[in-house]
Amino acid sequence: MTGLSNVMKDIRGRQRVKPHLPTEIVGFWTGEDLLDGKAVKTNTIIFRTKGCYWGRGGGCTMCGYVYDAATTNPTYEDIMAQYHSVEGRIDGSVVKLFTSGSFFDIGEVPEKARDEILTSLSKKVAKVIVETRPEFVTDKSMQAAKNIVDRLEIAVGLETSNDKIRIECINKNFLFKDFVRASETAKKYGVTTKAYLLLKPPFISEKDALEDMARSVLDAAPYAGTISINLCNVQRGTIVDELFQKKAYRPPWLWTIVEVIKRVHGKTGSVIMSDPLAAGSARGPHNCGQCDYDFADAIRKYSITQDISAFDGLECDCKLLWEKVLDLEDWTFGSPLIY
Amino acid sequence: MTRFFEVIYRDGAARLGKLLVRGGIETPFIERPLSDSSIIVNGGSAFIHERSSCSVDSFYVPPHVGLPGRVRDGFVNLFSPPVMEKIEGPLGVVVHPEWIAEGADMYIMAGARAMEGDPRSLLDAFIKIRASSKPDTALYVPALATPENVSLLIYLGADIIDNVLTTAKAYKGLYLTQDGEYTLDELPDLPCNCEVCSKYSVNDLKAMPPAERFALLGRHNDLRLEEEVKRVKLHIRRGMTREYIEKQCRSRPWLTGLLRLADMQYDYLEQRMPVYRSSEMLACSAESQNRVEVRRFAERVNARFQAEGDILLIIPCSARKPYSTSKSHMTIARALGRYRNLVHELILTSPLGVVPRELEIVYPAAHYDVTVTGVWDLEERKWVSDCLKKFIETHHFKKIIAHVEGPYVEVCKQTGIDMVYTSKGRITSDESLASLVEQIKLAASELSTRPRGTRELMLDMFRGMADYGFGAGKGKLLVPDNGNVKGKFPRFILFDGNEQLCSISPDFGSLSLTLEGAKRMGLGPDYVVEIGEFVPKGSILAPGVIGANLQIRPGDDVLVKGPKAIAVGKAKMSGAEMAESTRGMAVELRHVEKIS
Repeated sequence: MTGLSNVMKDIRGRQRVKPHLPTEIVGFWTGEDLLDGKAVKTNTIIFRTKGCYWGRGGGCTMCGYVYDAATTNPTYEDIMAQYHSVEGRIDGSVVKLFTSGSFFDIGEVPEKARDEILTSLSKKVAKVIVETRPEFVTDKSMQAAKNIVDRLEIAVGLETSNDKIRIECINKNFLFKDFVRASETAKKYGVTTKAYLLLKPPFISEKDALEDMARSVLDAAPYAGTISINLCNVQRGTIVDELFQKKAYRPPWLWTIVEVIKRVHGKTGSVIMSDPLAAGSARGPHNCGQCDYDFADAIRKYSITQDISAFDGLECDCKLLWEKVLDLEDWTFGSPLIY
Repeated sequence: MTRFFEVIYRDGAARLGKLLVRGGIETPFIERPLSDSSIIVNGGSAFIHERSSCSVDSFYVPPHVGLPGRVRDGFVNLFSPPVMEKIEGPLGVVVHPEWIAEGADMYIMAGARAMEGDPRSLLDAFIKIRASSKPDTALYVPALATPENVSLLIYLGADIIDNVLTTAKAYKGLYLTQDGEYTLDELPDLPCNCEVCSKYSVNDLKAMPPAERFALLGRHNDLRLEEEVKRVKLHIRRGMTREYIEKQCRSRPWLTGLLRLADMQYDYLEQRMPVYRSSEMLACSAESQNRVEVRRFAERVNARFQAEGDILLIIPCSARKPYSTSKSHMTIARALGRYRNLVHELILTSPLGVVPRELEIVYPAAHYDVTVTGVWDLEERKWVSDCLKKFIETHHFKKIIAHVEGPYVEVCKQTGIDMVYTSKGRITSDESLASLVEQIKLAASELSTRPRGTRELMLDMFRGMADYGFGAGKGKLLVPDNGNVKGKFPRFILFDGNEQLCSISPDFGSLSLTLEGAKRMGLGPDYVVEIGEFVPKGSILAPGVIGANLQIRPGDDVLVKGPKAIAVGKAKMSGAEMAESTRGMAVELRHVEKIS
C-alpha cells in the first residue's frame, strides 16, 4: 500500500536525525544463542550502511532502524573500518551480521567488503548468520557466500505468514512465497534459514496478533530452522510511534508471547525463540508492571533451553485482565482496550 | 434510510429511540458483547476475517479497520471507508470522523476508547459522524462508557454504549462509581447498595480469589453503568438532560471540558434543541449561561424582537415566573397605575440577559430558575450588561429609566449608556416608587409620549412573541390592529373578529397558531414543511416530508403545504431531521384543510 509508504516518508521527513559517520559501527554486543542444542556465546555486529532500500522509501510501519543509516554512503573502506573496529572483540561461536537492511544488498555492503568480512569470520567462528531481505537471496549470492563460509544462515524478516497483514499493516513489500523461494534457494547451497516474526503489528488487536503469530510460526517452520519472534516495540519516528502517542497502539502483552510459544511448542522441528526487548516499559512488550521482569526472564530462559517448563509457575492476577483483553479488544473497533 | 432504528424522543442531541430488532429494543442501549443480550455481530479485522452471513435480529458489522478520530489526517486515507453492500438485516459500520459511509443503520465511532481524556477529538468525532450520517441512524460509541462519563456520551448523541470498559476496569481491580474509580484498597466501605455491595464487604472482596473478585467488580460496575443510563433516560424524558450534565461533568476535568467545548460548537446542539418546552430550566452553574436556550433567547431578542416607543423602563427580574405575577412586579405595576402605558418594560436577569415584558411568557423566560446570592460574578455582569447594551442600541428609545437595585445597578452602569436611576435603596419602597412615577411623568411630558391602551399592550405581546418565534416583522402580519384578545393572563387567545388566529400556551412558552394565523404570516420560507400528494391526518411522518427548512427546530409551529392539503402543527424534530429521516413523527398537526 503506497499510502503507508507516504505516511512513513512524511514521518521520516519530520525526524531530527543525528548525523552518523560512515566509519562508525551501529552496534556490537555479546549474547547467548542456541547452536546444535547448546547455549553458546554469540556476537552481534550491526553495520552502518546507507540503510535499507525499502526503509529509505518509507519502509515498514514499526521500523526506526533507518535512522541509524549513515549520512553519506559508506564505501568499501568505510565498511571495512567498521569491521576492524570490532574484529578484535569477536569471541563467540556464532556471529550475527545485521545492517538493519540487507547484508546481501550490494548497494549497502559492497561485494568486496562482504566477501572479506565473511572470509575473516569463517576463520574465527562456527556459524555466521546474515540478515537479508529475500530478494537478495539468489543463486549468485548464496553460491558466493557459501564458498567462503561453511556454516551460513540467512535471517529474513518474514514478520508474518499473512500477506495481507505484512503488506497492509506492516507495509513490507514481499509475499510469503518470496520467503519460501529464498529459503529454498538457500537450502540448495546448504544455507539454513532463520525467520524473524513480528508479534502485534499496528492496526490489529491482541487476539488477532496472537492467532496470527501462532499460525505464522507453524507456516514458517518448514522453511526456517530457527524462528525468532520479535515483540513489537515502539521505535521513534514510525507509524507505530505515532499511533502509540495517540493511544492507538499498545505493544503486545508478555502473556501473549508465552501463549504463542505454549501453543506451538513441540509442533515444529524449529528452534523457537524471542528476545523481549524493552520488556516492562510502556514502549515495549508489557503486562501489568508487576510481573514483567519475571516474564522477560522466563522468555529468555525458554529461548536458550527450548524447555517449556521455563514458564512453570509464571502467574499474575493480570492474566485475567489479559484474557478479557483477548475477548474484548475487538470491541474497541480500533484502539487498545488497556494500555 | 434505515429500517432498523427510530428516534422516539429528543432532548437536544440526546435521544430515546428504538432498535427495531427482536421486537424493539430501547435506546440508549447497553451492548454487552459475547452475552445473550448482545445485538451486534462483530465481523472483526478486515485483515483477517471474511464477510460472513448475517441475521435479521442482530446488527452485522462487516470486517473493518478502525482508526481513532484523534489520529491525524494523514492516516485517514490509508484505509478506505467501508463499501456498503446491501444486506438483508441491520448493518453497522465502523467509521472514522473523516469517512463518509452512507447506507448503514448504525455507525460505530472507531477507537473511541483512545479519546478518553481528549474532549476535543471526541467532540469532533461526534459532530462529524452525526453530520455525515442520517439523523435516524443509531450511533454506537464503543468501549468508552463508564458510570462517570456515560451521561455526557448520551448527551452528545450516543444511542448505544457498552459494558466493555467497565468490564476491563473491573479486571484491573477498579471499582467504578458515578463520581470516580477506586481500587479496593482506597475504599474503607463500599459506597453502593447494589446486589454485590450489599452482600459483600471490602474485606470479603479482597479475600476472594481474583477471578471471583474481578467478576463481582464487573457485575457491580455493570450495575452502576445501567443505573446511570436509566437515570439519564429519565432526564431526557423530563427535558432536563442539560441540568444533569452540568452536575455530572464535574466528576472529571476532561468531562467538564467536553461540555464547555460542546457549548462552543453551538450549532451542533442548537439545531437539535427544542425552542419551546414545558420543563423547568435550572441555571445553577457557570456553564448554564452558555447553554443553547440562553444564548438562543438572547440572539432572538436581539435579532427578531422589535419595540417602538419613547421610554424604556428597566427593572430587575423576580424569582416567581411569569414576572408579572411576582410580588415585586405587581407592586411596581400598582404604583405605576396608568403611567405604565407610557413605558416599555425590560427585565434584567441572569442568565437570560434581558427579557422584554412582551416575551415574559416565552420559554425559557417563564421557565428558568437561577441561583440567587445577591452577588453577580464578573462574567454574569458582562453578559447581562452586553445584552442590555445591544438591546438599547438596536432600539430607539429616547429616555431610559433604570429602576434597579444592588448588582443590577452595576450592570446598567457597565453599559456606559446614560440612564435615569430612580431607586432609592429598595425598588419597592414608597420613596423609590414615587421617584419612578415622577421620572416617567417628566419624561412623558418632555417627549409628548403617546400612551398604549390595554388592548394594544396585549396585542404587542402577541406581536413580540410572533417576531420571536417566526422572525422580525411576522408579528405585524399576524396581529391586526383591531384584533381582539380574550382569556385571562397568560392564557390569551387572539381573534380577528370571530376568526381565531392563535393562542398563548404558557406551559410551553409558545404561540399556538391556527391555520388562519399561520396563513396570515405566510411562514415561508423558514417555517414551512412541504409534503407529498396526500391529505394528512393527525400527524406527518418523516417519510411524507419532501422538504423542510433548516431553521425549523423541535417545538416550532410550522405551516405544512402539499398539493392536496395545507395544515399547521408543531414540529417534533428539526427541519434537517425531517428532510433526512425515514422514520418518526415529523409534525404533530393541529388543523388541516383539504385543497380541492
